[in-house]
Amino acid sequence: MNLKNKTANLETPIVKKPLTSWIFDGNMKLQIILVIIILLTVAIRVVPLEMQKRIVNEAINLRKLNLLAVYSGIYLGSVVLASALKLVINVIQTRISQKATAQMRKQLYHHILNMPLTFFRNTQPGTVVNSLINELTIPGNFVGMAVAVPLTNIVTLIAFFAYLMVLNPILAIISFSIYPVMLYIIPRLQKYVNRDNKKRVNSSRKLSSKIVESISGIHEVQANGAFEIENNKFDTIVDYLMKIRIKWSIFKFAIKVVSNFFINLGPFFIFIVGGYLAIKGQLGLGALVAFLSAQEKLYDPWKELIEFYQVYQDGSINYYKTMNYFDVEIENELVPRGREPYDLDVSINVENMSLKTEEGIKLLSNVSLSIAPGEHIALVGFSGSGKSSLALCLAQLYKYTSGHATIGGKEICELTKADITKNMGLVSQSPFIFDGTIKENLMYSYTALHGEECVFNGECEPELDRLVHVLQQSGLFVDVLRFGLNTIVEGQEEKFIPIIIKMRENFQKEFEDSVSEWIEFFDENQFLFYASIADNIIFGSPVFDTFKNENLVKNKFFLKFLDHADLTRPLLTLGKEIADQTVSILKNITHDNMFFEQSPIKLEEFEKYEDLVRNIKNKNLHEINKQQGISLLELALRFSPGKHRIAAIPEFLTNLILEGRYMFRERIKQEDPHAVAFFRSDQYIHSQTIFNNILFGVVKTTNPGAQEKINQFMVALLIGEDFLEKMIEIGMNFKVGTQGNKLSGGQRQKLAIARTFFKSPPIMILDEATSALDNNSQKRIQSVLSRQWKGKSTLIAVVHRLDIVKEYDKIAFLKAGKIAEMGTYDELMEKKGYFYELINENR
Amino acid sequence: MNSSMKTDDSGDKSEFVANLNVFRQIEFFSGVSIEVMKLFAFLCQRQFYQKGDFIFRQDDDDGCSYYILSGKVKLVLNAGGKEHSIREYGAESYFGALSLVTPMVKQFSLIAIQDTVCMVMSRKAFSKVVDQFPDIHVTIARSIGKRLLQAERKCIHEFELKERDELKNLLGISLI
Repeated sequence: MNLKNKTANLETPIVKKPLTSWIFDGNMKLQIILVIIILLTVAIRVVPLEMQKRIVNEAINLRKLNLLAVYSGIYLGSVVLASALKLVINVIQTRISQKATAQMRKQLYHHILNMPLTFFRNTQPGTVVNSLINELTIPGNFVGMAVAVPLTNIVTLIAFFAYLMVLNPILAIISFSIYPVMLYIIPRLQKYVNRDNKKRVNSSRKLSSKIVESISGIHEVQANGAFEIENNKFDTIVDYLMKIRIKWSIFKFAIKVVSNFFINLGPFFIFIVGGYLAIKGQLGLGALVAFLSAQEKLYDPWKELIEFYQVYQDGSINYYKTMNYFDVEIENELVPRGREPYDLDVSINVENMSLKTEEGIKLLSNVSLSIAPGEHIALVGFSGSGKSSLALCLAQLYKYTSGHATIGGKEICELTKADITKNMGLVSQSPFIFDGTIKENLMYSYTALHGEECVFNGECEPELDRLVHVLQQSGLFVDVLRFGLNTIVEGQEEKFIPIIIKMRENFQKEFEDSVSEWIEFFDENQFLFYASIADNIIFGSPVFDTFKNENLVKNKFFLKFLDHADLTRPLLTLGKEIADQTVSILKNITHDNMFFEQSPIKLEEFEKYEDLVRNIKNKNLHEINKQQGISLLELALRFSPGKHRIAAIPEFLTNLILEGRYMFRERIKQEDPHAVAFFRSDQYIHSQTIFNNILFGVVKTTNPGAQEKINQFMVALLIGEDFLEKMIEIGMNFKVGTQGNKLSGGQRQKLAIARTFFKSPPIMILDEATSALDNNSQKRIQSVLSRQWKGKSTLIAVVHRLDIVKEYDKIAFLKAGKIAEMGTYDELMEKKGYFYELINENR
Repeated sequence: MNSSMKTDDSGDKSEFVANLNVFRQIEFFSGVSIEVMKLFAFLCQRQFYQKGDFIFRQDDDDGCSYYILSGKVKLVLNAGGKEHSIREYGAESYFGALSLVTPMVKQFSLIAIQDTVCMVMSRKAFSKVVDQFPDIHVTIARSIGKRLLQAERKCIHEFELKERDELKNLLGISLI
């Protein structure tokens, strides 16, 4: 474990840090450099003024060319230098602000990941996203400006004030008298800005939450067709946000307007007072003009100060609202101070432990039990009995509210996260699978324990054998093999192509007879019922995009070919039948992807075809227009008779298509010999999976038993070719999709179990870890647990299926948050209590 | 289409239409409207089983119901460590309707004793249809009630005939 990084910042949690602390925190050097450069710049700005004077007074007056050259040179140099320094100031300022924003984001994120689970029950992910991404930008900007802007502008203001005082003290005092008025009015206006800004932060959060909610619930939204409900909710929040933002902006502009107004009043007072003095002869005209032009120079620094003030106000509101939101006490520190994480003696002792919710509901009450190292205990009971709560308390994910629970004599709630994760592995009921490959997920817990450095570049790099072993233990092996076989080969893996072609030959030699009921082999003299009509005609994989299935109806060559092969009209008829039937079945129901799995019409196309069917209802084929014809042709070409059972394909058409296949091949050879790679038994088909390449055909059946048999043949073949491990390696690179969406519920659970097995912790907590698995998979995992882990790892399993419970050393039956019975299987059966009843009920 | 998957020889009829005709004959679904039947026929799948294959296994919740289109099957119960052959069924038999309605572990195994073709409907597909037509539940509940009553009458009849006391335990199921 990487201790160094994690012990930093243990002292003040980020949520307690004042915004101003970021100004110098870690930026001390940069800020000092900045101050020096600013002072330098201000000083350098004086140089041109001085040079101006000298050029006029000395060079021009005394007619000295060399002095003119020198002073002009210095003038130019100072202007260039001042601009260069201004650039440096901006660079440093940007660096400071970006660094601060990045640090705030990182530290807040680290803090959030460690927050207690109870917090996340009431917090939408969108709120967190919004806080981390949007709300910390302005505070960051403030940090960047915090030294540079006030310093530059205040020094400039003071300098000009001094200059004006020298010119004329009375006028100077008059022109500065407007500033106290502004200092009184502007903060009052700012209060309104702040009020609306707070509202804005709140509704931005709501908006982000809403977006995240509907995207994560998109299944439900689409399945229920609840677009209107969701749209309304979203629109309401957006409208509210719009109103708030308008008000917020108006007040912000009001401040600018007020400030500009008063500044513009400046010359007005000067005219009145200065004019009076001039008329009275107390002030020279030249002095008045000089004063007016000097006074104008006050505008810019003042404007910048006002802008800074606004950034400061907005920044602090965003900052403190964000930090306060996440200011929840962290229950357990990440890593221990001054010691390595414990290697605990894994006996577990629980005494009078209770868990109460904030509302006072007792989820666990006075639970006591002890588990010896290596012992396996099952927690059973009805749902709501507290069995999961008990397991999660032991895993430190819930904090028990009274009593004691210890591992190796150490109180669980006082241990750090590092102590727990070093000694414990947890598989939850609906485990989370991260976007990435199977392998990355499989190694997740292991990598967290040993550190990425050690796993990817060091001595902890796991051996393939061990990965394969846990895949077998968890039962995921077959799935991974399947993923490997379903891979479409590309890049690196192309080196396997010759082996795959060789396996194809052997597969047909050995198994063709046994599997012919379930597989349709590619045969150029046969119509393929489990391939689309387009595939049947082309009988190869397209090399050029124009011959890809979806582009065929736009391909003039292909359309002409269909005409010549007499295929256009029968295909239109077929397309019409498909459209008619599908629309008649699905027209009055809410649409769900499942209804479209067996139809060549896609969900998003349904309305289009519904219209089409209506429009051509009483028309003959020669009466339909070109676009309608194309749509029907598209359906017919997509149609795969074995898969889409909505229409039947007449025999004459299959013969016609076979004829067409030969004709197409001839024509394309003349026209464009490289457009299509034809299926040949000695050629790899790049558009198809490894599995289909080995079969040189497609599996027709969805019957699990038949698929199992084909898989067995395939495994036998892979073993024979010594390619099984390679295939697993390919399969482990399968990308599981966000939240493991491409995996089934069972596969996700098996992956989660495998990831804990791979970590092999001394304590394992399984919270209904096998609930989504079929009986056989569950039994296999249970037997691995009993055979391999008993005596080695302590196991606490929340069990809902009772057929495996016999395997446990001890069973605790929970009822209403209490342990009602505890003992071995035989003891409890003999006792004829709750457990006995539960077992009998389930028989 | 492959010969063994074909159950009627009218080549021009689509599988969907054939399925629809089958569904209209299944007693369990009598009373269900034609729209619903169409969806069933559209969503169900045909499966081929080789002689000796398990169609479903005891203690497994496969979540499917099966209609035998052709072939022959055997119902088997594993109990007390022994395998009991309950009875054989031919074409037009229907199994597992309850699995469509609720998660349920099959209490028997069904094994193909000839090459067999089944029309298989999954709980997932069924519930998608129910989402669209919630009224189905009532029809299905009626069918289940009818079946329970038939079973009960059979038991009572058996009891009347044999008057064996141990049969008493089996009575009363229709009063659930």
